[in-house]
Amino acid sequence: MSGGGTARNAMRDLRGLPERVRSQMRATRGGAAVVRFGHYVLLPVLAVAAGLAPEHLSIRWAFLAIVLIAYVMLRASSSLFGVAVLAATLVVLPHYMDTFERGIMFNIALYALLGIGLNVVVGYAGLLDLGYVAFFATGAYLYALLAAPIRGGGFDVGTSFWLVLPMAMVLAALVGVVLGIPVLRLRGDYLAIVTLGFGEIIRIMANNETGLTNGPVGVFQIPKPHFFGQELATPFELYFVVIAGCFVAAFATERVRDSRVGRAWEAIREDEDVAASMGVNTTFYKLLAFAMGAAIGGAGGVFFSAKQSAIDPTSFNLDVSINVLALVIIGGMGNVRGVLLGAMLLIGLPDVLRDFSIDFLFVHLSNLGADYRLVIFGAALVAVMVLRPQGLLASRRRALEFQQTEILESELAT
Amino acid sequence: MRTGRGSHGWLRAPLIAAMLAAATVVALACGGTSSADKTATAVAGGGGSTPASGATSAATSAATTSAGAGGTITIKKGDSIKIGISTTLTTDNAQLGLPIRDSALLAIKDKATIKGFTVVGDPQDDQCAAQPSVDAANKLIADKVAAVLGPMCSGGAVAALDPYSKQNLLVISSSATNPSVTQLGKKDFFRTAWNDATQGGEMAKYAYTTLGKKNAVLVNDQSVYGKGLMDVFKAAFIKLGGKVVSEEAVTVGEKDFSPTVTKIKGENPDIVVFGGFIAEGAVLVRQLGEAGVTASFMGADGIADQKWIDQSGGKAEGAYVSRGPKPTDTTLYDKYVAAYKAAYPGKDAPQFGEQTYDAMHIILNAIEQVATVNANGDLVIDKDQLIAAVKAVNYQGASGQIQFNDVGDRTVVGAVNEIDQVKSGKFVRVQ
Amino acid sequence: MQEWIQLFIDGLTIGGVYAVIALGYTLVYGVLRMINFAHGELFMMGAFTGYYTLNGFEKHSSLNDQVPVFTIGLAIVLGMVVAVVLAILMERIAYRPLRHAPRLAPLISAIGVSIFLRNVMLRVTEAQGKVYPAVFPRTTIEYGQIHVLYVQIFLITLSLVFLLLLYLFIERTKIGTAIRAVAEDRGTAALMGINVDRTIVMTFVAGAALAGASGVVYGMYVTTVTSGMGFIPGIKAFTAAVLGGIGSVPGAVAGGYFLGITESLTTKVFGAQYKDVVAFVLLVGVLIFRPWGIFGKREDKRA
Repeated sequence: MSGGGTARNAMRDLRGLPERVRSQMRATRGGAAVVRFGHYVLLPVLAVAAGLAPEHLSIRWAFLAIVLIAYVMLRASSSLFGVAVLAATLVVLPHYMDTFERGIMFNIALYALLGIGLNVVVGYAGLLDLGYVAFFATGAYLYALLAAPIRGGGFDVGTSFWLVLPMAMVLAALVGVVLGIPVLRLRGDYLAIVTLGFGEIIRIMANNETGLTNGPVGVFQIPKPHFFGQELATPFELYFVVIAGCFVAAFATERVRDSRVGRAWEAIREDEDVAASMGVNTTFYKLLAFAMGAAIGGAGGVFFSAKQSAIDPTSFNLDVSINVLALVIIGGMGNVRGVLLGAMLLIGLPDVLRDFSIDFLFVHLSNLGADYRLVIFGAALVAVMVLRPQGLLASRRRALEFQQTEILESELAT
Repeated sequence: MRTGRGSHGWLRAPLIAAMLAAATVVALACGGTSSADKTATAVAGGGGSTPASGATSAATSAATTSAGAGGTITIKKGDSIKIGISTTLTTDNAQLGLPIRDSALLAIKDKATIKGFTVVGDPQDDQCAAQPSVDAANKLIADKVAAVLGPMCSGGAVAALDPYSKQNLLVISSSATNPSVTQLGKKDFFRTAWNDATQGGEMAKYAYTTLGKKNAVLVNDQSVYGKGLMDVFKAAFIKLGGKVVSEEAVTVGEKDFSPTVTKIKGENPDIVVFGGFIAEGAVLVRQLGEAGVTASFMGADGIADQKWIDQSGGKAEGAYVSRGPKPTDTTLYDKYVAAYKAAYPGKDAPQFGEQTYDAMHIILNAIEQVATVNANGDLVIDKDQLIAAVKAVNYQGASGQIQFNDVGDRTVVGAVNEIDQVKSGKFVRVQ
Repeated sequence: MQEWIQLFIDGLTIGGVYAVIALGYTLVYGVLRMINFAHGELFMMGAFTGYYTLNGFEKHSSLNDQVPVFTIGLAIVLGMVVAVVLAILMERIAYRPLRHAPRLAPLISAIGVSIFLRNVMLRVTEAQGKVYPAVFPRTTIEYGQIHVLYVQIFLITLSLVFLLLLYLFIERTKIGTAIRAVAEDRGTAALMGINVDRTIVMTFVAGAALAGASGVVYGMYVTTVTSGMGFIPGIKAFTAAVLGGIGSVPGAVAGGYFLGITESLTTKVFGAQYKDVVAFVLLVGVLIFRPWGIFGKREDKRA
C-alpha cells in the first residue's frame, strides 16, 4: 500500500481527472436524477400503504419501508425534499409500530446519534477509535448515578435529565481530551488498540469500583426525564428526543466540517505531516475531534440510561464500539446521512431477524431467526462490505477518492 | 468538489434547522397524548381487547398498579396462547439458556391446551445482558404474550422488569437469583430461583459448621450472580467466625486461570468457594486439582449440572455444590428428570431446569384458573387476577413447595438447602 | 520465589499462545495493512477440529490409547488444514474484493466473518462446551511448589517450534522473501514479477496453519472448547502484535510473551480482574515512548 500511497499523492497533483472517473461522476449524477424522480412516486405510495394498514403492518414491512425510503431519499442527497420526507417518515411511521418495533427504532436512533459522534473522529479527522463505548458509558453512568435513588445504586442527587445532558457532554469531552493527550502521537492501528483498551478499562472499572458504580449489579430505578411536566415514560417518547438530538448533532457536525476546523481535520486525515508543516495545530484539532465525538457519545449515554432505567457494565462492552464503527463505515464514512442508514441495517437487522422464519414446502424452521440471526448478520456484514466497499452512501468526494485509488492500484498491480 | 460540498452545507443549514424545529414540535405533540394511546392499543390490545382496558393499562405506571385496572389479554378464537421465554440463545451463555428453554417447552408440552386454546412458547434471546433483555421484553410484549418466563440473568431482569411492569405482565424467572432483582419491588414479578441471600448464607453455614472450614478463598466470575453470591457468602462466613483469605476474580470466556490458581495455592486455604457458571467453574476446579491444591471446592447452583463434572477432567471429585433449598422428598424431581431425559434423549437435566419447569407450570395453571371464554369464543385473561393467582400459589413442584412472599421471592417451606458432593463423577446429595 | 517462577511459567504458557496468534495478525497486517479480526476464530476452528478428530478416534477405535502420537499428530494436521482452508476462503470471499477499498472496509468485513464463524459453531455445538478426550496424559512434573503439566510443556515447546519455523519460513524460503517484499512495497514487488495475490494467500495460509495447530494443542491443554474461545485470545494477540510493533515478526513474539507474563504477574499483585487494565496501561506506556511498538519500524505514516 505504501507504493499506492506515494502514487496517490502524486495523483492529487494532477490537474485533470482520468476520463473513467469523470464518466463515473456523470453516471452517478444521471442516476441520481432518476432516483430523485422515482421517489416522488414511491414515497406517497408507501406512506399511504403504511397509513392505511396499521393493523397489518408487521415489523418486516415497516422496517423495510423505512430502510427503502431512507435509501432512496439519501441517495438523492441534494434533494431538500428528500431529506424532509425522510425526517417526516422517521417521525410518522413509528406511530404505526408496536412496542418492539418502537424499541428497535429507539436503538436505531440512539446508534445513529453515536455514529454521528464517532463519524467526527473517524470520518472527519481520520482517527480510528475502537473505544467509543468509553464516552457512551461516561454519559450513561453520570445520569444513572446522579438521578437514581440510593436503593437503586445511585446517589439520588435528583438532578434533572436536562441538566445532566450538558454535564455529561462536558464530562465525556473531558474524558476524550484526557484519553487523547497520551495517545496523540499514535497513528492508525496503534491508536485503535489503545482506544480499545481504554474502552475496556472503563468497563472493568465500572464492574469493580463497587463503591462508585454499584459493581456488576449496576444502577437501576433510573428515573425517566420530564418534558414540561410530561414524563417521557416509554422508548417511543424518548425516541423523539433522540431523533431531535440526532438532528442537532448532524447539524452541528456538518457545520463544523464545513468550517475552518473541518478543513483542518481534512488536512490531518489526508496527510498529518503536511498538515503540520502547513501550520495546522494538529494536536489541538485532533483533541477537538476527540472531544466533539466524545460529547455526542456522552449525550447518547444519557439517553440510553434514561430509556433503559437500569444499566450495568455488560451494556458497555467492546460490541458497542464495534457496532458504532461498523455502522459508520457501512453507511459511508464521513457522511451523516450514511450513518443513519448504517444504524438501520446494523442495529435494526439483528432484531428484525428475530422474527425470521422459513415455512415453505418441507422446510419448517420456525426458530431460524431466533437462533441464526447472528449467523445471518455476520454474513450480511461481509456481503455489504464486498458489494459496496465505500459504504452504502459514500460522500461523493470519498467515492471519488476510492475510484482513484482503485485505478492506480490496479494499474500498479498488473 | 471542494466548493461543491461547501455550498451544499450552506444550503442545508437552514433546512436542517427547520426540520429540527419541526421534529421537536412533533415530538412534543406525540409525547403529550397520541403516543400513550398508541402504546395502549398496540400493546394491551391483544388482538382485539376493549378500548377501555387497553387505555388503562399502558398510560402510566400509576394506573397499572392500581387494583382492578390492570388490563386484560384477549386471545381470539382459533389463536394460541403465547408464553414468552426470555433466555439466552446466543453467546457462550446459551449453554445455560438453551436447556432452560427446553425445560420450559417441556412443561408446555404437559399442558398443551387451556380451555381449548393451544399453548405455544415464544423463546427470545436475552443474551444474559441488560439491553438485549429489554429488546427481548419489547419483542414479547409486541408478540402479545400472556406471561413471560425469564429473563435468564439477574442483570437482564433488573433492566427488563421495567417494560414488563408497565404492561402489568406476569413475569416469573427461574434463574435470576441476585437479591437486587426483587428489591425493585415489582408487583408482577416472581421467581422460582432462590434468592442468593438465602443460598449464600446456607453455603457459608455448611462450609463453616458442617465441614469445619475456617479459611476460605472466594472466586467470582465478575457477573451479577457470581459476585453477588460471593458477597453474601463472605458476610455470612465472617459472621460465623470464618476468615476470607482473599477474593479472586476470573474472566468469563477465558479458558486458562493458572495464574489465579497459583495465587490460591500460595494462600493455602481450607476451601475454595466459587460463584459463577459451568464453563469457568470447570476450568477452575480442574486447574486447582492439577496444581495440587488440596482445599475443598464448593460451588452453587450456577455449576450444579452434570456438564460441569464432565468438563472438569475428574478433578471435581469430592467437591460440594449447593443447589439451593430442596424438598426432602424427591419424587416430583425424579419425575421431571425422567420426563426431560425422555423428551431430549442423550441430555441430562440441566441446572435451573426443575425451577424452570415449575415456573412454567405455575404460569399455565394460573392462566387456566383465571382465563374465561367470552361470548365471542375469545379467551380473556385479567392481568391483575393472573398476578394475584400466582401470588397466592401453593404449588408442589419438582423444585419443592413453592410459595411467594410480598416481593416475589420464594419462601422456604419445609425445605433444606441441598448440598451435593461429587462422588464417582456424579452428584450425591449429602444434605 | 517458587510461586513467582510458577507464575512465570503460567505466563509463558498463555504468552506462547498469544505470540502464535499475534503472528497471524502481524503477517496479514504486514502485507495488507489490515486487522484480520477473524484470526482468533481460526484458532477456535482449529481447536474444534482437534476435538472432533480425537473424539472420533475415542468413540470408534482404540487408537487414542494405542498410538496417541499418531492421533494427536493427525488432529494437529487436520486442525491446520481446516484453518488454512477457512483462511483461503475468507481471503477469497471477504477480503480480496476489498483489496483496494477504503482502509476500514476490510476491518468490518473481518468482523463480519468473525461473528459468522463464532455463531455457526455456536449452533453446531448447541452452545455446549466440548471436552477433549484425555489423550494427552494430564500428569505433572513437580518441583517443590512448582508444577507443570506435560501438555503445558508440549504447548510451550510447540509455540517455540512454530515461531522458529515461521521465522525460517519468512527469512529463508522463496515465498517468505516474497511476503517480505510485498509487505515492503506491493507495487514494486509486483513489478519484480512477484505474484502478489498468491503471496497474500500464502501469508494467510501461514498464519492460519499456526493458529489452527495451536488451537488443537491449546484445546488439549484447556480440555474444554467453546465457540467463543477465539475471541479473547484474538483481542489479546492483537494487543500483543501492536505492543511489539504491528507488522514485525519478532515484535509479535515479544509482545505475546510480554503480555502473557504481565497478565500472570498482575493476577498475583492486583488480582485477575485488573490484569487487562494493567496490560493496557503498560501498552500506552510503551507506545508513549515508542509509538511504533517495541520492534516496529517507523514507516509509512499513512498506515
